[in-house]
Amino acid sequence: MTYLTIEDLNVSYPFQQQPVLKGVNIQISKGEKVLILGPSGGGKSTLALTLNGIIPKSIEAEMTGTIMVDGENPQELSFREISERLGILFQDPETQFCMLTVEDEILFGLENLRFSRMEMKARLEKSLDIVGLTNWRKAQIRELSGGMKQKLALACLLSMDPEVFILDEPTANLDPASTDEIFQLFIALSEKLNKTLIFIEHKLDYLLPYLERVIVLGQEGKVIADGAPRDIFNHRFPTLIEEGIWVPQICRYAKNMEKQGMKWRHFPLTIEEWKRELESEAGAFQVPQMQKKQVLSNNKTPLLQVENVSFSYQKQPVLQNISFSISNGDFVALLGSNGAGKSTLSKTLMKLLKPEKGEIYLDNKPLSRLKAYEHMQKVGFVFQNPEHQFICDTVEQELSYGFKIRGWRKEKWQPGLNELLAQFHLTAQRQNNPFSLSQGQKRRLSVATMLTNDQQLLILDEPTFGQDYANMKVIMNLLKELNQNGKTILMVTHDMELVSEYANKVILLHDREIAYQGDVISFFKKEELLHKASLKVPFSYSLQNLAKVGKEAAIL
Amino acid sequence: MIENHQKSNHFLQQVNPTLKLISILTVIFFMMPIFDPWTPFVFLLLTINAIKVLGGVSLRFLFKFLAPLSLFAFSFVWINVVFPSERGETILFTIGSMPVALENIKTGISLGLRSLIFASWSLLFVLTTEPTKFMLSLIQHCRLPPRLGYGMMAAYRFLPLFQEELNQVRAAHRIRGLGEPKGFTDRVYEIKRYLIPLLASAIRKAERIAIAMESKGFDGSRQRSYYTIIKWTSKDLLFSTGLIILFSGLLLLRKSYFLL
Repeated sequence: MTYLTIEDLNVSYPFQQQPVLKGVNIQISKGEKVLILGPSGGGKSTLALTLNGIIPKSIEAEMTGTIMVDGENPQELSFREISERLGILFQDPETQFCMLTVEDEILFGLENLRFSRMEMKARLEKSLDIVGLTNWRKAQIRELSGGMKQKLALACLLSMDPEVFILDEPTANLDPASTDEIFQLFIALSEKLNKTLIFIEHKLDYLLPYLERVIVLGQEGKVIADGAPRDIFNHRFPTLIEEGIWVPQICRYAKNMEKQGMKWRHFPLTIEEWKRELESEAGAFQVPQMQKKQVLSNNKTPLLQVENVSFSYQKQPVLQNISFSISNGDFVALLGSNGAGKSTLSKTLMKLLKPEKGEIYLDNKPLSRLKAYEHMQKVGFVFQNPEHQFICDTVEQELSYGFKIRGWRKEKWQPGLNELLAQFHLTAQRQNNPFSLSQGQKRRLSVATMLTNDQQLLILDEPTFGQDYANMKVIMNLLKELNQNGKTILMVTHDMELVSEYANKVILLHDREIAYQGDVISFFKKEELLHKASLKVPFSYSLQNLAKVGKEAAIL
Repeated sequence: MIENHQKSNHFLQQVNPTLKLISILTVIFFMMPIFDPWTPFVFLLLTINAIKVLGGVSLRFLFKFLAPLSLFAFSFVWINVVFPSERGETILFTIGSMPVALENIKTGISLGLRSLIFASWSLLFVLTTEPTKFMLSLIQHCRLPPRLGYGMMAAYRFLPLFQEELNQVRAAHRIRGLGEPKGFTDRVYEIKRYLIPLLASAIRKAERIAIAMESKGFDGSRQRSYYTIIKWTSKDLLFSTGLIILFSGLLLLRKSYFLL
């Protein structure tokens, strides 16, 4: 039975020439588990908001076509009536709450639906129990971690008991451990409650076995594919890559094997399927290896040395006796779960916080004795939110700012500026206001501004945060290129795939201390440590390992 | 810290927030015609004691807020001595060529203490009232539209986020090589630079919260049910009676002793 019907939907926002959605036709039945894929800015969230009538009721947009939810037009239903049928879990855990405590937030939704006190109490307790927040019932929302906030947001929806759940990248801001917990919840939900689930996600690998259908929105806002996941990822693979859309790692590897002549009888979507298929082949094919990175050598000159640094906030120790060093030319990934002290550590490197004990040396000079501008010329910092770093009115001014500070004249910096613009694909936007750029452009600009002083060390806080596959690739390849040209890179990240593909050194912060520093491959072998720090080896690494084991078995 | 006080189970915490708000207004009216120093002094002592005993707030915590305000209170004494509307007759001493009159000092002290009374009553309200209960009480007893009430709650949640964001923008700009501002024009530019990213993100956040609220079925209308109903109880009667006794007692004391 069709529950959601979208017919010939066109949406365009004011002041934008291109429509976000163009002639979209989708029908979704009760109980279906659907994944919607698309490039960033490709209209996925817009689609979700048209389904509950917020577009065009609250957000101004031009919309044509028909939408039916449970046989009714959402524009003609009140927000209350819509929310009984359809709930959305949003991406940003900070901005979906309006109350102060866990309990009040869940009650807010129930009060909107005008339930009796008894009913509210029952629903409140049940939803808290499902997500496992019963002990936090009276807690202040701002004291919760990001993962718990998303659980709360889910509890709010569960208590209202809609037929359709739209999950709009709810794990985009979470660390791997919390992501996993949230996914487990979704899976339990889909099995127990048999609700209609619509995922908008790009951390696909662990979700794949539970999906029944994939709908792909293209760059132009059209549906370019709609079908079973195995079908789409197998037969439409080139299209997805072309459109810059995330594809599960396992499918990438499977396609790679196909190039070597592997014929899949059953295109694999899970590790188990992969195993089963390969067993019969008995190691006839090579799983493509990770590019071997240059092994860390000890004779490189250290660029940054952190020695016995400790720091505490209000008598709570955050960093205890941290020591590590980074050599010239390293590409380092700084790992650790949320709250492990990563941001505190990077703040001490930025000289925004002064360590209580210990010293940091940059080029063998203590950081405490470097003047602010000397420090700046050696180290560039790229913040998580690129907008925070913009201080000028055009892209060009933004980039020339660093040159001007050094007192250079225009003739001297003009060529450098043009080169940067070209390198970061921003030449066409040189006269635009930085705030008007797209997500990917903003991120590139914020990296570029940190290179104008020819800094040796670049520190980046989650550089691929909120980027689609194409943008992620562009940024990471830029960083790789910079690294090959001799720049040293320290990157805070949660993404283990990035670590395995790009980094040559890992520093793991766990429980306020350095739990590991060294090369990537040995790091992935320390299963116990990874488990303790709630990290998971990347999918690609598991696949390769599997192949090795398979081969050894074949030899025996 | 403040939340612990707001949530504790003392007498003042159980008084209806609307009544507490009204009581502040009556205190302001009550103090209007009073210019002697003793009445506000006794009143202030009683208020502070009430906050401690009936609200369970430690004196140390309370003085942390009141201490900086007493500087402001002292400025009333200074202003009344240096710029009196009418110089008093009892000259105590002179500073340079300026005579200092007892009457002016008294008025100054009275006004200074009055400002402290207002401050301590505001603290009484803030330290013993949960924001959520206050909002609910305004909606349920004062016909505040829910649209405004819940909007205010969302904005209140926003404040710490805003502070955090400002710190981040500051840090990010410092990294770009913008040091501490020097001089007035620098400061103006700094504000402009901070304002754009902060506004951009504030607008975006506000929009997201609004969308999240609407998608939870919030339409701003009065047609909604309430889990917590702020009731009028015997505690409210007790509080009002206490307030009346306090006012009349003070008036009596004032008539029989302070005005002599």
